[in-house]
Formats: sequence, C-alpha cells, structure tokens
Amino acid sequence: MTLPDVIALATPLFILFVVLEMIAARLWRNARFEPFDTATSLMMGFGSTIAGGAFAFVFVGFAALIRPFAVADLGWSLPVFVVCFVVDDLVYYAWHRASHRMRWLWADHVQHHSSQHYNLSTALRQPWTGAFTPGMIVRAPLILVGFPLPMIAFVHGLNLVYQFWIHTETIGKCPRWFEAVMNTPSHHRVHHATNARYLDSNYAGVFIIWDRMFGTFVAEDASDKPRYGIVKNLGTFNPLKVALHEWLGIAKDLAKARGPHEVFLYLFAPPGWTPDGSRDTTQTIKARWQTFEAARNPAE
Amino acid sequence: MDPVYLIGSLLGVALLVGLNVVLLGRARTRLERDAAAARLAEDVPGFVPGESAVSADGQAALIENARDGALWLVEVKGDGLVTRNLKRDGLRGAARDGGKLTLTLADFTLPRVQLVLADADAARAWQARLEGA
Repeated sequence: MTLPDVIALATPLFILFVVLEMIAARLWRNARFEPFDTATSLMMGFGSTIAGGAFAFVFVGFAALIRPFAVADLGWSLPVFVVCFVVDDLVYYAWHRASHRMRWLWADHVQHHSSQHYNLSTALRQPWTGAFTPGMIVRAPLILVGFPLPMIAFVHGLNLVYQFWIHTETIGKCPRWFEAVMNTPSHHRVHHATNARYLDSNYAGVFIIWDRMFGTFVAEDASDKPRYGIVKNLGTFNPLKVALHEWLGIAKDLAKARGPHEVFLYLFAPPGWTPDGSRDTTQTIKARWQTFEAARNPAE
Repeated sequence: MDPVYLIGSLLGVALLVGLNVVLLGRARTRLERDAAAARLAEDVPGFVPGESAVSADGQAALIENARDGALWLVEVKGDGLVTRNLKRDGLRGAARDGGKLTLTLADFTLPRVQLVLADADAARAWQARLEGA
C-alpha cells in the first residue's frame, strides 16, 4: 500500500498558520516573534529536510535489514493502524525522554529547543543530525512485531504533524478532558521552559498520558510563566552553529577524557555532566532551586 | 532533491521573515541593570545583584552575584538575553582599549563580547576583576 507523505502535505498549512499567528501577534500581542529567531527556526526546518533526504538511506537501509526478522505480518486493517499510532507515540515518548537525559541524543535534540521564543516557527526548528544518533533503532520493535514499514512512517508523520500546533502561546488551556489525555500547547510550553520547576517534564508527542503514567508530568503554573530556550542559551542565530554547537562541545570533552569511563559518561550521562561536577545539569539546577525555595518558604 | 522545491522553500522562508519584520518590526532591546539582574534572578536561584556595569550601547552588562562573588555576563540577542557565568563558562581573556573591554570566551556560539564602559578607569577595574575571576 502506498501512503502519502503527510509532512509534505501539511507544509502549506504550516506556513499558513505561522502567518496567522504573526497576524494574531500583531493584533492581540499574544505571541512573540523576532525576525532573526524566526529566520533561524525556518532555516533549521529547511536544513532538516535536506539532511533528512541526504541521510534517508540510513533509516531505509536499517529498516530493510531487520524487516526479514519480523515475527508476524500484521497487515493493513484499521485497528492495526490505530495500535501502530499509539505504540509509535509511546516509542516517541521513550526516545524523547532519552534525548533529554543522554548527551549524545541531546546534541541532536537541543537544536529544536534552542529558541528563546515559543511560536509556530519554533515547531519547524528541527535538528539536522538525526542520522548521527541511533534513532533508527528505536522503531525496530515496531518493525519486528510486524507493522508494515509504510504504516510506521505514516503514523510517525502524523505524530509530528500533530505536534506542530502545540508550539504556541496563543492558545491557553484546552477543555479539561482534552488536557487530561492529549498533549496541548499548555503541556508543551512546560516542556520547552527553562524554569527550574519545569525542567525534564512533559515528553509526550500526542498523548500526555505517558507522562502521567511514568511520573514526568508537570502542569503549567499560572504564577510561573514559562521562559523558553535552554539553560545556557545560544549567543548566535547562525543555523550551522545551532546545529553543531553541542556536537563540538562533546568532541572537546572527549578529547580531554581520561579513559573509557569518562568517554562513556560524556556521551551517555545527562547534558552538563563533568567528572568534577563543575557544570550544571538539570538535576543540579532543580536541586539548587528546591533548596532555595525551601529556605524562602519554610512553611510549605 | 528537486531544485524547484529547494528554491521555493528558501523563497518561503524569506517571505515569512519579511512578513515578520513588516507586521512586528525588529527588536530594539536595550539592556539596563535592573533587566540584567532580573534575568539572572530567573536563571540563577538565589541571585543577589551586586556591582554591575552596563555597556554604553545597552547591548551587554557585567554583574556580580553578591551571594557568591561570581561574575556574570548578560548580552542582548535579538529580543532575548543570553547569560554566562564568566568563571565557569570559560573566560579566556579580557582585553582593554581605553574604556572598551573585549571579552574572549571559550564558547562556540558566543566567542567575543565588547562592552564600552563609563571610562578607562572603570574598564581597568573590571578587567582586573575578570582576570582574577
């Protein structure tokens, strides 16, 4: 069965909604845009499609390699589509969580988080270096249990298209039942925030239930407005530097690593890990914030 | 990859950025001490603003955390701010030319920052503090 490329189909709508959000920002001041930041986000999206095309053989080759080992052929029925979509979303949650907790994966994913803005153009700020992570391996279970390859690609495309609209400040809270089950702009604002209380939370793609199940859900607090970006924001709008900065940081650290133990931890420990603890990780930032808050509000 | 698609995509990017400028203008952020301190209070739990110096062009500031003596740089980037702990984040050098101070950082995305301070004495004093940091 041939399925459409949903991301390519949705691209004109992406552009239309970015324009509409800019008009909304002009009329109601409910979104922030900055031309250099917008340009960087859009060029990251453009570069990502180029990189995706150039390195597609990595993913296609890996999928073709393991496909013969599939234990079943689940076919093309509607229930299989639905199960594939849900399982793919769970896989996305796990991969996304790992991408925040392991520096090797963070080197790719940080590119998406590098804007201090949160608007629909931020959704298009996509990484260029996915082929240099083991990203293809995470979908191996779906292939091995027998979901058809085009179905996996299709539902993953749907997942990414869903995530476009949640990158906005123009939508406050959705109806309670929707906020309970689905990922929403409110939940994802928390995910992109650098406020200590929000760090390392809300990894969901489509269904927020995974965060609720696995203890990573944090609700948006009206008294603590999200501040966006990364804990050490970038001093550049150059897309090439945005794409490469963390990889270069890893290379510099590996060059001075004292043995395989440090090499391993520079690659697989959380971003910010150093042998002497001289840099911040999200955990040290949170711990410091909690200590400070406890001292400030001893009654709580 | 189809060259028409590539050129079309780049034109689309240019049009959206142009629309951004037309509808919402460009950032004209000018840093002041209070804004720099407020940002650091957000980024650094328990930050207490101490001595500070803001560049004459309002694009960068140096500010001390009175709690632990750490020196911080705050720089304007678009309509946002970027902060760096100058000891921890790798200050390589602080060169002075009259009242102008040029900081060199071991930072791929922020390798150099210039501040024009009130006068040569102020720049000299900050240079000495930075070199001792």
